[in-house]
Amino acid sequence: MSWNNLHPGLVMILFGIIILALPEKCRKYLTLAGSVCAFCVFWMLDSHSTLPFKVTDNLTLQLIDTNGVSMVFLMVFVSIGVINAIYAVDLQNKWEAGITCIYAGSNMGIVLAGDLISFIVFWEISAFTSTYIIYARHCRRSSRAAFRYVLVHAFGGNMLLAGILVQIFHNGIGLANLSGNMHGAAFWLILIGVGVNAAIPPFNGWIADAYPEATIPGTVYLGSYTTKAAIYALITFFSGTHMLIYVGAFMAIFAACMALLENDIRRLLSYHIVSQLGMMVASLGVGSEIGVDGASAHAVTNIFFKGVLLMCAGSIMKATGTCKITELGGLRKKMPITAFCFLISSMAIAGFPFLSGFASKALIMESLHEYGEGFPAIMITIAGVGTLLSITLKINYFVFFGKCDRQVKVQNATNSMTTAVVIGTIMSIVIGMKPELLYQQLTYKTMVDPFSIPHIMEYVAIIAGGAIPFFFMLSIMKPHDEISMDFDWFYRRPLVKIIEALSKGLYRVFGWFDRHVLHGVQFFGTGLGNPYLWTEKSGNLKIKSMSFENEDRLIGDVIQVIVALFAVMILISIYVIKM
Amino acid sequence: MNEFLYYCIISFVGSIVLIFLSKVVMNKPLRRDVNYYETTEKEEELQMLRKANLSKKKNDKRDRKGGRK
Repeated sequence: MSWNNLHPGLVMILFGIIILALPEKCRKYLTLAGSVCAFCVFWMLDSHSTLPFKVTDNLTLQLIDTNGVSMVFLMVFVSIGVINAIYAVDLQNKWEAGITCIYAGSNMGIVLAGDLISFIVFWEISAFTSTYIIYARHCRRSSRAAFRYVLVHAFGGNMLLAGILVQIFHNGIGLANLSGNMHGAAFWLILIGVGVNAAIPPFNGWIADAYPEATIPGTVYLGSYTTKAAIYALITFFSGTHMLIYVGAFMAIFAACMALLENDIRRLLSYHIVSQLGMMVASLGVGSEIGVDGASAHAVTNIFFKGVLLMCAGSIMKATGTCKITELGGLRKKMPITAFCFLISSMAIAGFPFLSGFASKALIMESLHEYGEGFPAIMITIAGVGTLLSITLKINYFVFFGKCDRQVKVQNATNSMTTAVVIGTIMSIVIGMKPELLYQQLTYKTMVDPFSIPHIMEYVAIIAGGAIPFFFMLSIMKPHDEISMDFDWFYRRPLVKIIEALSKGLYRVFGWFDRHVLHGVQFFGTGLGNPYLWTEKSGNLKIKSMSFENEDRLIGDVIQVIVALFAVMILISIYVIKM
Repeated sequence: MNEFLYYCIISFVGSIVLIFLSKVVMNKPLRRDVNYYETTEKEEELQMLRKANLSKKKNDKRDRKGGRK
């Protein structure tokens, strides 16, 4: 085996297992070493890299397939893996650290998988390890959220598995684009399976339900991988499915509205994950080269700036003990580095010129305009305004920069947390200043010039026009300590009642059968096992007279009954055979 | 200049529409008390725990009678 055939995902998984096996004191070094090794192994991969795994004589799985889209996602996965490891180094115990390594590795496995079987195996490993990351906070809310999360993902995973089996039956185990086969069962089953992870409504409720309940580093890891691996899957299976342009545009607007209602920073950011995913879904729905590159580029930039935003939210939580906007304020002076990095990343997510979001959104908007989809393009623009309102303006104003009457006690965040936040912010600035660095890594190497005067003026207009209503309606924009209901309401309220009613009904039905069947069995058992009872205790005089106890019984009657029963049995047998 | 104005108007109107949608239209049907789910869940858990106590008491009683070895 040569060096270029090493699998970065398997390296991470191996490190995860070693962390779990070794004592706690080794955890810090191994977490960092694992992510750095995966990063180095990634740079050794090339177009000839391959890792076949022979299952049987007729079935060989391909664990490494370095097509263009894979390499873009893998590059950002290994990079954010290092930043996340630095952030988490002082925050995790060995169990959480080990499982997050396996989780990150499994997502690298998803994007490198060269066939459907290895794809689904890594997909399921990712689902179960991410469940533990949510559970790892070890409180009542997180364990309940983890339980709901695993149920939703078990549903999605099973749909995906069923779709993959249908696809394998018809077309073999290779990864193929299904956009031309909308009438096939495989298309819809795989779309639902992947749609759950990509948080396409109505399957989006789990993000805002589960992510804020995870541990501080757990949320950061979750925000980096699951949904982006789903975008990779959508690009692979469904790029060019035009229906997704409208689905994505709806996602982006819907989640932006939901984010405006939120008070918890981590829930708010979770909605913005959905909103940004909507933009990627719309872009990949176009299916052209620029569309695919737009979705991939936005996934890359999103992982960096959303990662920093989630890291900052974690730093705020660690420093103040809360993530509720209503309980925070004036943090600019107390947490200057976090405030600055949050500001930069929030500007990047809103598409401010010379920051990373500006570079990737340029590709998305270009793809939508090129395709001639005017209405989705306007919706995506408005969703961008929603991002500006709820993150760039709302959080920055109410948490960091606005006037605050209350005194918020702040403990210092750890050095490792601050370092990771700064590295992530630098990445956003570098990509924003030099977008060609990003464009060169994309599948089709699409180049646009985001720094043309009309394009910059377009974004300046969007930002200026979108910001004015915020300051005019400042009192309305003030958050309240409430939660908003989402599609998760259906499985947290009515579905629970329906399942409870069904289980009670079934319990009663089976209880009735249990009781009566047992009585029946007892009755027949006692009766059949004791012919004396058939005759002696019968109310029919003729049968009673056949009793073995009756010495005067008419033997002719007995023979008559036996022959009649025998004839009935033969008739039934003939009927059954003829059926 | 026309494009600049076009995007200015789109984002201005879009911003107002989003604020109206989220803070007025979606506000009443979607916003709930912060413990909306928690309250019911905790009640259900309490009920389960009460039942668990009952069965524990029954078992204890049976143990005292010597029913369980």
